[in-house]
Amino acid sequence: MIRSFVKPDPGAKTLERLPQSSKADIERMANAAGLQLPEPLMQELCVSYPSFEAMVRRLPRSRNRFDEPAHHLVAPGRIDSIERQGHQEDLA
Amino acid sequence: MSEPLEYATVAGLLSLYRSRAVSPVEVAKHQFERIQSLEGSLHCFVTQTPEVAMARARQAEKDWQHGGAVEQNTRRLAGIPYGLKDVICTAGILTTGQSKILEHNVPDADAGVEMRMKESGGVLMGKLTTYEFAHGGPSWDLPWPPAMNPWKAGYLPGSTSSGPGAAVAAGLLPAAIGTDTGGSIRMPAANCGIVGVKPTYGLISRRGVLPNTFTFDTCGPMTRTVEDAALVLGAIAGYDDEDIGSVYHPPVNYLTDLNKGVKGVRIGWVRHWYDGDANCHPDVPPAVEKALEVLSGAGAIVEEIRLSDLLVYQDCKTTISITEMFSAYEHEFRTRPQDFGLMFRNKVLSGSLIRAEDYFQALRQRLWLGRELARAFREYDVIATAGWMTPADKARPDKLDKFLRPPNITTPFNIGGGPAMNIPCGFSQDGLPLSLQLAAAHFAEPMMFRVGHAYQQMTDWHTRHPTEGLIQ
Repeated sequence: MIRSFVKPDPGAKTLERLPQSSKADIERMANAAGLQLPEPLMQELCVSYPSFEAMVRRLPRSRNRFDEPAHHLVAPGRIDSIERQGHQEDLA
Repeated sequence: MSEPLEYATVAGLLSLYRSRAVSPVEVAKHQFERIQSLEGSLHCFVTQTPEVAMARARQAEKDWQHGGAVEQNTRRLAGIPYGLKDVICTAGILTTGQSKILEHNVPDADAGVEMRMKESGGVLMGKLTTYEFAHGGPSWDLPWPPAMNPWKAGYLPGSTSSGPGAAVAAGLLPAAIGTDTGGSIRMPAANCGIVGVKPTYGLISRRGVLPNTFTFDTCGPMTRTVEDAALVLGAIAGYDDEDIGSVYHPPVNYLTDLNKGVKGVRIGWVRHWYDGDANCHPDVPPAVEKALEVLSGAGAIVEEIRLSDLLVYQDCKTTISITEMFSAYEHEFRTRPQDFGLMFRNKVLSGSLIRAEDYFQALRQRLWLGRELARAFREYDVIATAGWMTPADKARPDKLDKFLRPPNITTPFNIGGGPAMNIPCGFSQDGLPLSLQLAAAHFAEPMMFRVGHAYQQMTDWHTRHPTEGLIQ
């Protein structure tokens, strides 16, 4: 018997049902993001983005509201330490 | 001396220095001669540093003559030649990230990991080839050519720590420091037939390392044996107050448990990630299975287990990665996007369109997947799977790499954050190296090394060296 550590996914809902963004959609989003791309690079983005859009839409979307994101809790002491180093560099 | 000098291991060189059979200066000169003879075809170096190397080698000679510092472990790598992937900053030495963006960048400070290598007495031979900012594929439109695989002419060494992988495999260096964000140490280790270690996130300082993905980036050793990886990790591990991701962990002697064997060690075998996958080369599953039989024969308890599919891990990791990477290079994307290579642009520019809610859903998924791995490591000392799905790929300058590759078998352990290591476990029918991947719980590097070392004591894959791709 193969032991499984996979728990049933409570967030099985995804955004995969949404239609793929059109070239015009991608250009609008890029402009809204403040990117000023030369035309050839904008064309590259229009070709590459749909793969990434599909990836993002496969992510589970209905997690329990108490499911927190993985993040690195930085203790206040560490932030103080980094700030002190920055301050010393400023003085130098 | 059974091996030619260029293939002496780190442990072997230390032993030779101790017995005065050879000196660090002699070794540095010998290695530079080998680099000169092979670099024209392998392209492992962005920058060679002979003056730095000879100065450090002379200092190492003094260390060995006086003995004390070496024996007290403060100069534990005295006289060991090494290279740094060219995303690791070096004071006064060009550090480019293999990118036109930083083509003339000379940092004024060393990265934390280089500070430790220098303090340990290592001899810096140069800065090693990568992919642009340690991401993408081999781009053919950058100021430097990509590294090539010493096992076969015209083949690639694997992912972004490609120069380190090829240099160590070809006997240009006994050790190198690479970086691993989704498998960038382990993939070239697999494709070049060497050992590559991604340590626990936070164990090694990332200060001064050009970022790929802040929350996944790790530095780690690439060597020809597990023992050497343990030696190098012992020199570079440690808390750094100037790296916000650094984690304090009491100093560990990674050699202590090396020879304890695997009797009773519990190994969870994740076969479904590769066996039966359409992208998996047919020579890989039998090689991995045979490796586990070796460990089982030595007393390890090997049981097949199931984890989430690779695509689930990959979607989570890549969403986080391209978002963080775009944020790291946003200024240049806004001001001079055409100066990035095609491959990097194609894989990172889309990060500008990831919404905050998508990024956070990926981070929530990351915790969920991390917990899955933590549950597995409560029951198993080590997880084993294939090191990579295929032998080395052919170099195809005319072919654009896919925007999204098939899922990396290395990525799950970046999501989990614990240590993982690739070690050679055979060859394909074409004579290209294959690899076994071992992973352990957070900070359980000693157990991972113990299993890997036991395997290397029972096999000889790590003692074989390339010939076919070494065109002089």
